[in-house]
Amino acid sequence: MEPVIKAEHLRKFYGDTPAMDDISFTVEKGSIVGLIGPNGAGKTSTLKAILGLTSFAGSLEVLGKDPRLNRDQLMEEVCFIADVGVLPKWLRVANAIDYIEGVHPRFSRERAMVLLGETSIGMDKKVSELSKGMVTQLHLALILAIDVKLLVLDEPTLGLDILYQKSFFDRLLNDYFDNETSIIISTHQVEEVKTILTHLMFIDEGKIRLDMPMETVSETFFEVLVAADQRDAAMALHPVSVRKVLGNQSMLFENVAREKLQALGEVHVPAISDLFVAKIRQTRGVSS
Amino acid sequence: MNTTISPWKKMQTLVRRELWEYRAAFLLVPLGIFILLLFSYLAVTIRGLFNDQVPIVSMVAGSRIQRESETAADALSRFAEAPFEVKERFWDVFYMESVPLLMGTFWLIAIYYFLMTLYQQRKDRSVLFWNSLPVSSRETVISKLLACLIVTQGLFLLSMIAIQVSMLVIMLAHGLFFDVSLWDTYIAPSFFLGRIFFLVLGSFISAFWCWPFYA
Repeated sequence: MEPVIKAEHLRKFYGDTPAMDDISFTVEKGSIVGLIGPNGAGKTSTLKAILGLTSFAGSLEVLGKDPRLNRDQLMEEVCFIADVGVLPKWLRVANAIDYIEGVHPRFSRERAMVLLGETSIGMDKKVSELSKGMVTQLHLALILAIDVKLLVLDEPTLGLDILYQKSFFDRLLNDYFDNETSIIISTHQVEEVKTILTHLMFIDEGKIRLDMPMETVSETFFEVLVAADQRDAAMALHPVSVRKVLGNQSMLFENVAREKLQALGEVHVPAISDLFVAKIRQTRGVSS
Repeated sequence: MNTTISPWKKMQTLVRRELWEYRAAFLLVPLGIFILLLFSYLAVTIRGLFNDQVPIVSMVAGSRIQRESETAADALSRFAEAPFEVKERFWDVFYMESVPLLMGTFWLIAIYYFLMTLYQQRKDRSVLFWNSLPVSSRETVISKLLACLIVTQGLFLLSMIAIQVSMLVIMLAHGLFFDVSLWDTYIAPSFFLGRIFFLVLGSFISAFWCWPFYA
């Protein structure tokens, strides 16, 4: 099956700083990819490249099109939320619906009305008159009413409180996602999205540091709360990271059999944030 | 759900978007100036009737109809008997008085709009929302030019025409109180339809002539 996104050797530099340093990856149909990275890692540049909003070198196909050449056609099949605070303040809810209906061939006014009917947002309200939570609901309702093949989210819940973050991702998963749609999410709130991801991608200094299906992550990485008398045996297995937890040592291992680790202590799948910190430190050569 | 959107419908939507955003400048300002001028002319006319004065307030020296210590009836009779060219020149000045205010305001709004429109979208980050929809940069730029130079200039032009029609109606209503030929004194020398035609033509020629400046 043709991947939704096929990127090969993408390169973009701002001066000497790499935003994309020869990165290659694919996104398959029906997958939800979490693009995780620290500030300045290259997440937004990668997403902008996918959307045709920035120049770059290398080969990139999104839904079979080069976003540099076919951006407006591509946007008929791709939807994009940069963050939920970017709806223009002067826009009225009714105008927003009229506008998207007038420019987007895959927008359903009926669906938008149903979704907005579930909220307390009035059609004659301006965005400036809505609370931040309501703006989120409005933006999401507008996006959910568009039937696209790829949804790109760049820090979509930045600045929202935890209730709205949760409701945003729940709604996204329940009302939007099906096996025909692919989603790529860049976020710092990794624990918030981990339950919805099918793939995990770490990016740092313009390079992909990890690219793996979630089910493989849970088979590849294990965290062990190592008993004191097992420390030397554990260190011999070359953990990716070692950190102190309540006087004990927690070690993260990659590609070590679970059975082997069970002899060292309590084994569990690491939190994505811990895995992220460990992998980034490992690739940067920072001792743990 | 739509399956296709015609380029015409899409462009209409894009232009409407500009009118929503700049509603005050594009729609309310020409309407406001029209109402202001209309009430000014009405007030001057009504005041003239009570003070026995011909309500012409031309700013151009020498174009007043009424001399000092002359009644309005005498002044209008004298004006009605003046040569056609004199009357034509007088009405030309009279009607064109409303044009600089509306045209000047339009140019100020156009300059403000072209300086601010793309900058504003970046400043409030709404460009990220507009860019998330299937509209090309070319379509965006064309819609902004059309919204300002065709639709808004058209609305200002409509205001100019409306105020000149109102001025004619007010002057004709005023003329009914006096014993002068409305046709020979007010209508024929004002060359009204020709004036409106040249106003429309002049506006659009000047708009197209300025396109390189906007670019």
